[in-house]
Amino acid sequence: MKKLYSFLFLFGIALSSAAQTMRVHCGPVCTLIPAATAGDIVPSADATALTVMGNTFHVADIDSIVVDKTTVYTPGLVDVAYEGAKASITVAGDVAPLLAVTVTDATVSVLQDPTLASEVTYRLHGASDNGFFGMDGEYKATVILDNLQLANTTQSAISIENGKRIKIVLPEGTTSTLADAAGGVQKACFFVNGHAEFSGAGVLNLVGNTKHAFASDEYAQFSAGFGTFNVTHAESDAMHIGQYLDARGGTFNLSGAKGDCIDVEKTKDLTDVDNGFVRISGGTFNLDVAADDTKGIKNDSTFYVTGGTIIATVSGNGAKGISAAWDMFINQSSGNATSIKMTVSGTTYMPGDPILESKCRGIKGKRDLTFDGGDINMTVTGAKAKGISIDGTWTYVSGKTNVMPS
Amino acid sequence: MRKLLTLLFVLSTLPCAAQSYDYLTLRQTNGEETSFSSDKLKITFDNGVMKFDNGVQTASFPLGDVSKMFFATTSTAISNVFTKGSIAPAIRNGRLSVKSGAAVQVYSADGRSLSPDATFTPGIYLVKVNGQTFKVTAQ
Repeated sequence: MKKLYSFLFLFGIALSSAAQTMRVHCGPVCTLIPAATAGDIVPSADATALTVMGNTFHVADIDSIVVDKTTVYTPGLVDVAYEGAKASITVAGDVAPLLAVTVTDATVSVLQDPTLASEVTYRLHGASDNGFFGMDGEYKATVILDNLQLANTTQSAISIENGKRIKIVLPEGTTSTLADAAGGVQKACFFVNGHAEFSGAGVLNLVGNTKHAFASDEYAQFSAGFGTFNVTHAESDAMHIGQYLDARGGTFNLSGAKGDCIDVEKTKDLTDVDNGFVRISGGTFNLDVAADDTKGIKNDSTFYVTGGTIIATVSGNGAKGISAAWDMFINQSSGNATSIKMTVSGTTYMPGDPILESKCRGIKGKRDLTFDGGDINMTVTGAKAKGISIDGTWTYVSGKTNVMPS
Repeated sequence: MRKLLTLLFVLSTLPCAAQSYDYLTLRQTNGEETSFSSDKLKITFDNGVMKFDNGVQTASFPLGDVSKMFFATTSTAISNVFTKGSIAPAIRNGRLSVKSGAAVQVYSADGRSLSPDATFTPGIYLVKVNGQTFKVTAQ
């Protein structure tokens, strides 16, 4: 009986998924109009245009209209398929009237109308050696990176100027790789102007050839089930985040950065919540801090670790595994172990320089550090290097550590 | 009870898929309607003319003669659906032109049976050719 129910359920879903859909092809952009909600298709009075579902198509721009019953229509979906030197875009008819889509070769830009009041999902997939996706607007959106391989020779690979909440989804089983141009003016290979919320168990590989590999001007959040975030090279930071970092899960392999692995800076709006904070409650951070005077994780305000693993190889002279500008709290919540392991082998950066001299540290805190649970294990070999150095008060409550502040 | 509710839920998904818009109907400015099977239907434009082709039926209409189009679950009651290779009947200068050898029946718009050899005044007539009904306008 259970098998019968499952079959009927799946059969019903299959039947309701694909239905008669009108595909209006205008160059690289195809607009989907579902038959069920199309309504009247009306020519203009001068017979130069057709209007359907709020979409007006100039007849001169229409290559063809095809109706079939195999298309699966998803409201609010924009599908961007990159294929070498070109890209093709399929837009759901319910949102198409409020999206200005521009396509030149494999450069795709979407401008959401300010009156758009529903969330659009952008699914990006395929590959291009000179591709780009840009989106701007004033309503939150979702971007799915579905086995996307994008490199760009003149600018960033993805730039989302939309300042709202942007969900970035990496579907499980997918791997997406982005690389931007060298010598450009872009802030990052993958840039989000608003707040980026990452989810999905897929893999994202980034290379920042001009500045940062990833940058967000507002907070970046990583869900408990998040997959893998790899940076193998950045001319500046691997991850440069404004406002705060909220990491609840995921694996972060950050190396090859000439700047910090993770830099969380305060925004200019001092009323922003948790401005400059780092909150790590899960996940694994593998940080290769090899460049001189750089940090594994650096932030402008309070630093919290309540779970998760931070593994840092701190070999750069004057480098820091963790550097916090304000109070630090290291503990572990129930069922979520905290582990900090560091190999600190760097020596002093610019020794003797009254301003620039910087010593190598595993953890550097500008104010107080409270340790109440977890495991801190450091191997410190660099000349004049220290495992933990804080300017304020060290408070030990519980936990295991093989280094003490000095 | 749970099994019954589950079954009812599953069955409720089926009606969602039952509405099948199998036809695209075109209404001209003179009121005539033509239905096309919507499966694999392709529409192109050439110098202001809309061309329809679904692999079985073809037709062309000046876009200026089109009032609107809409999807429908059934075809129009009386439609001009042109099968590829067939020749649609026409009335020119009051005389009916139809494929020779075809079985032909002609009716006025109010249902009166008329002779195919009659002289047709301007108006709308129903012409049945080999069992297929066409709405024909005599200009």
